[in-house]
Amino acid sequence: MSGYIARRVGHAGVVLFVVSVLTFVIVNLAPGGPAIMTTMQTTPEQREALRVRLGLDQPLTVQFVKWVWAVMRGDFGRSFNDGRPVMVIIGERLPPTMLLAGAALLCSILIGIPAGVFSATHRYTGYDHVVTFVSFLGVSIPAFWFAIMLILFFSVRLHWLPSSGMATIGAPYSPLDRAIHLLLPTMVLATVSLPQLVRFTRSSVLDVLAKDFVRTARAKGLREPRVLYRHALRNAWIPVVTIVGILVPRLVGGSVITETIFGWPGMGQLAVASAVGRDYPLVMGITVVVAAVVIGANLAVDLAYGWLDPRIHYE
Amino acid sequence: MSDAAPAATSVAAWARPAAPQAWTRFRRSVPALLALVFLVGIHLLALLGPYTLPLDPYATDPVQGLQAPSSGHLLGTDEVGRDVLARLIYGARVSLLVGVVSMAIAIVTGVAVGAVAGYFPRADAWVMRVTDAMMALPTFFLILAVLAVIGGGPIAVMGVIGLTSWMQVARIVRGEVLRWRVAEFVEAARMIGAGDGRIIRHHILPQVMPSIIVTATLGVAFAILTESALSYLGLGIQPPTPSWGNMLQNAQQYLWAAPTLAIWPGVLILLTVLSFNFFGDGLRDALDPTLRNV
Repeated sequence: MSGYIARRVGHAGVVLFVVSVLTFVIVNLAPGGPAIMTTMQTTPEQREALRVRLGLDQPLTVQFVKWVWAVMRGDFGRSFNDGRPVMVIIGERLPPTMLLAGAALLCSILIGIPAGVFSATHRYTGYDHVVTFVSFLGVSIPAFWFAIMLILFFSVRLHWLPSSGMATIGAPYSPLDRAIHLLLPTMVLATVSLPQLVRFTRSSVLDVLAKDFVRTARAKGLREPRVLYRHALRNAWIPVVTIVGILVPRLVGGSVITETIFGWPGMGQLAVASAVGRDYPLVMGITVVVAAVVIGANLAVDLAYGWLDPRIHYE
Repeated sequence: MSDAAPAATSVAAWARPAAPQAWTRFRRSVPALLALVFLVGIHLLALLGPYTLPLDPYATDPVQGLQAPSSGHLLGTDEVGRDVLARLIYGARVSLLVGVVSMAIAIVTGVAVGAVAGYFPRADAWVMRVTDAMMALPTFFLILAVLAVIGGGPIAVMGVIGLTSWMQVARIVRGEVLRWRVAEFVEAARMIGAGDGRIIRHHILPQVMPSIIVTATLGVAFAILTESALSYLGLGIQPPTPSWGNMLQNAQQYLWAAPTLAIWPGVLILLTVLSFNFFGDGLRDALDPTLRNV
């Protein structure tokens, strides 16, 4: 088991390294490279001085080694646009995103798993067809458009919910105020993960219900709830845990759109701002940090998988 | 050429009766049929509309800005008096083209990567490790970073979406290649002197086609959604070229004055993506009944 954990952690490290290389290569392939942030007003001499100060005059391999070395110590340099260290900015923006993504994931699990189980046990009924159709709708709806429609309805027409931000301006912090601001963004972000979780749970439960041991349980006269809860579901959970690991990168990706529309001051909004503003150190820092979070989540799911299913023996 | 003819005919003989059967199964799904009708309609409109309808998506008329629907402008006008219907039709061309081309890029990349990994055991571990790394990435962040560096536009968007969504195809192809690589007909082909390339192209890939077609259809839906999101953020298709995504970005400033501007492009994206998803799902059931409920 410990050998397996060590191997998984090593694998995660390799993946993170590949991500860093990709990020570095992409940014340095830019026309003009990172030096593009010098504007028209600067003289060639000033630009040259800046290049030397930022180390951009050195060979790419040297720059890369320096960058990786700094990154390993958590130093991504300073933002071009506001001059603060990239890690400080990310440190401010990561918690709001985790709150939003966590809320969306929690909603998806609380709604999606029961809906998927019920859909599977009532296959081909009206309920099942409705759930299937709604999850197709959820997969197909453009998140930003859904968000606009929600704002039009709940904020513009009904005045029930705020359309942007994390808190009422000027009001002291209160959990209720935060929850109210969280509601619409969570609804939008959950449409990214909820339909997939429903569909996956449904097919996983259907898969288990067709197994021989379920037929045996029924044949020996067990009542349906007992067959479901004691025999079928315990086996169906295992693949459902994996899908949660797959949903994490989707939620993080979905946060870009959701945060931008609702003015939620998290990583997604920061990613758009830094991309539009060509703030390369920030772009590189965000990509690596987000990848690290996602890889960490996948690692946790992998390890949970072995713990949940006693039949799995590593090595 | 003649040496592999018998094997090729046997694949054709396997494939021929499958097509009508698949159509019989496909017909049973009402949502899939409706999706097919809608997709044919929207593609015809996008292909032929600009040649047959007297519409100009670029002609501005500031006096006629933000007009309600009328006989002159069936869906009204936007803020500088451009015809909304014309922009929706020209936007369909861009959105559909981006969806199909980026998926084509993803399929070609995925098939190549998957075939190499599955067919050559020595490359397998490394190739699949890179594939896993790509899958673990929140690709939308990567796409933003790349577009920030190289700039938007249709070609950049197609390339970036295509090159970040091939992983699933690669995994499917790898699995199938591993399965068929040891099949007797592949053995037979090798025996009569077929090379690796020929075996992959003529003997293994035809077996993988059904799964690739289904993945591609669902992938087009995903690509259209991604393009619209990027254009909405201002990093995708750049105005004045209309795309459904950038029309929505534009419409957001006039939500109160002209909410229908924001409704139409969204409805079209939703219906198109929904149709691709239902069509793909119907195809999966039709092409491989054993995959039902998966």
